[in-house]
Amino acid sequence: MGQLLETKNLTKKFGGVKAVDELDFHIEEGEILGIIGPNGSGKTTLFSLIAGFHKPNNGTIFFLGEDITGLAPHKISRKGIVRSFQLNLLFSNFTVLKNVEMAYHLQRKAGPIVTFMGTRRAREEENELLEKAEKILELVGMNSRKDQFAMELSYGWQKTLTIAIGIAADAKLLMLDEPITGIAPDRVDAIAELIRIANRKGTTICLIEHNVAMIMDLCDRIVALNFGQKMADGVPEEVAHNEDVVQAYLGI
Amino acid sequence: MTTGSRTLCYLAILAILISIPLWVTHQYYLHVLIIMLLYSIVALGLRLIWRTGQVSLAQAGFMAIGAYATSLMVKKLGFSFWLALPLGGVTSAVIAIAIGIPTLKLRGSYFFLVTFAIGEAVRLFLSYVWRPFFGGPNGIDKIQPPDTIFIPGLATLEFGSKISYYYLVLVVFIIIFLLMRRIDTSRIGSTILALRDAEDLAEAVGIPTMRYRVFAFATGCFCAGIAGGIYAPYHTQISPVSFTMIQSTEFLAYVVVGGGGNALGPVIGTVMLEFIGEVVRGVGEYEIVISGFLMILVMIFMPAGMLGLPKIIRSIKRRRSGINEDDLEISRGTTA
Repeated sequence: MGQLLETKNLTKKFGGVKAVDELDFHIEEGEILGIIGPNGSGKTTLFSLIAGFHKPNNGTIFFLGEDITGLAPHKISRKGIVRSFQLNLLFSNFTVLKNVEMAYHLQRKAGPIVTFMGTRRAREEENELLEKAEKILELVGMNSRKDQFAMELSYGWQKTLTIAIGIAADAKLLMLDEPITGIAPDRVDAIAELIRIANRKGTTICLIEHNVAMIMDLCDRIVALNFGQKMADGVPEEVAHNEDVVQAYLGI
Repeated sequence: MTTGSRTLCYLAILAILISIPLWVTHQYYLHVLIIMLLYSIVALGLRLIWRTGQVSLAQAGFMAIGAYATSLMVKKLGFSFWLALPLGGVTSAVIAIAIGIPTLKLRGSYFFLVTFAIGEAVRLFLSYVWRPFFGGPNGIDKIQPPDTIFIPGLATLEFGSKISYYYLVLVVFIIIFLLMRRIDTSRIGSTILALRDAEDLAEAVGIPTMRYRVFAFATGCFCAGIAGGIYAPYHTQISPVSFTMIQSTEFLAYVVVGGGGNALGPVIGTVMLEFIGEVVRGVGEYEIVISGFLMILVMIFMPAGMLGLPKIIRSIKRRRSGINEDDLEISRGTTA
């Protein structure tokens, strides 16, 4: 397995606080990587830096060997990195189906102007993408809800939809920010399975999660952060028994 | 409605619009209709900006840019009006792009404040900079009507009468209206709408959000510029006071009151508020108070504007019959 993403010396300060502090971090191709850490340890900031929503104060980010530091988010997305957001950020006035369809933006061949003219090829592509979107919804078990507005969904289904969008975007690297936080226990397994399916299809997954049981079960490797620095890095059992991690979590 | 009956409906409206000068013979009423259509063009443009989640208070300023550009091209450069008009719109759009690229990154009220400043800056610029050219506070007068169009063997279209301006504005209005409809139903339209819901998510799935914002702003300002370009020869003279902040506020009221849900919204809003404006003309400057008050009422009780009215009526009917499910849709308050 080669390295998909690598950060060197990555630093982000907010005022005097170093949210991410000279972090050397990497993601391997094909793995499911879990990121854990207490609140404020820099997990989400790390996501935002990688996806381009924040510009680092220092350091570099390489994706497939290419320096992507400081690129605009949509450009990074075009390279194959797609992230979800913690707060169920969705196109809330759109239907479920349309939400997933929006994620296909990257895969369209017809440009906006061609679509505007409404040529037949553009319409055919539109239909193809709708079919693909329906397949994704079937996969996540939301086909019966495809015509509901995203804002009408329950929290759990909204969360599922954010993952569906991530899968639809067909990323090389999918970064999920707390995909199961706040989800009913009986849905957790289904979402974990979804993440596995996406992974088997060839998407590398990096996820932030507080549910330790789930992350231990799902992830190939875990990185623990504290004060923006790497506290532990290894297979789940190793990290779970790391003294620093236990201390940080229990606050001793 | 089936597609057939909808087409029939549009044809009927078109027939009424075309036949209006035949039965509205009073020149003043015709004038009001011309202004309604002209302002509808500006409101249609503003609605596109509104749909990206931004509000612009500079539309009167961009109308001024179009009006001055078109008139000056005709007067000083000797261009044909028919070339100057689209160029005037393009001038507005180009200036909008130049201003939009650095400022459209600002969100919500910050961009709103910037457009407030732009509107005033345009007005002051035209009042005080290079007076021999822009005419200072007196502006430009004696603007000739559009050149006569000869269609060999068919007709000679002369401009100058109210009726001729009515048809000119009507044609431009229909073109802009259809263009907006086309944008709405295309992918550009849904992407623009997506920006307002979740801009970060749009970026995350690879949508270049800035490009769409700039496009919407430029297109909206193009509409304002075109309306200005027609406004100038219609009034035969223009000056910076024709394009004030109050006018921009009115444009905003048209969109808010009518609703941004589809292209009909701003047209309904314009016609309604202009109509009310005519009815209460006696109260003079208090007219703006009335449209402001109406705007507040609509924002509180009808967040989707007049376009949301059928839904509200439906829900009241249902509540009377004991079913309450439509409430959800109203509280959603979608102007989408």
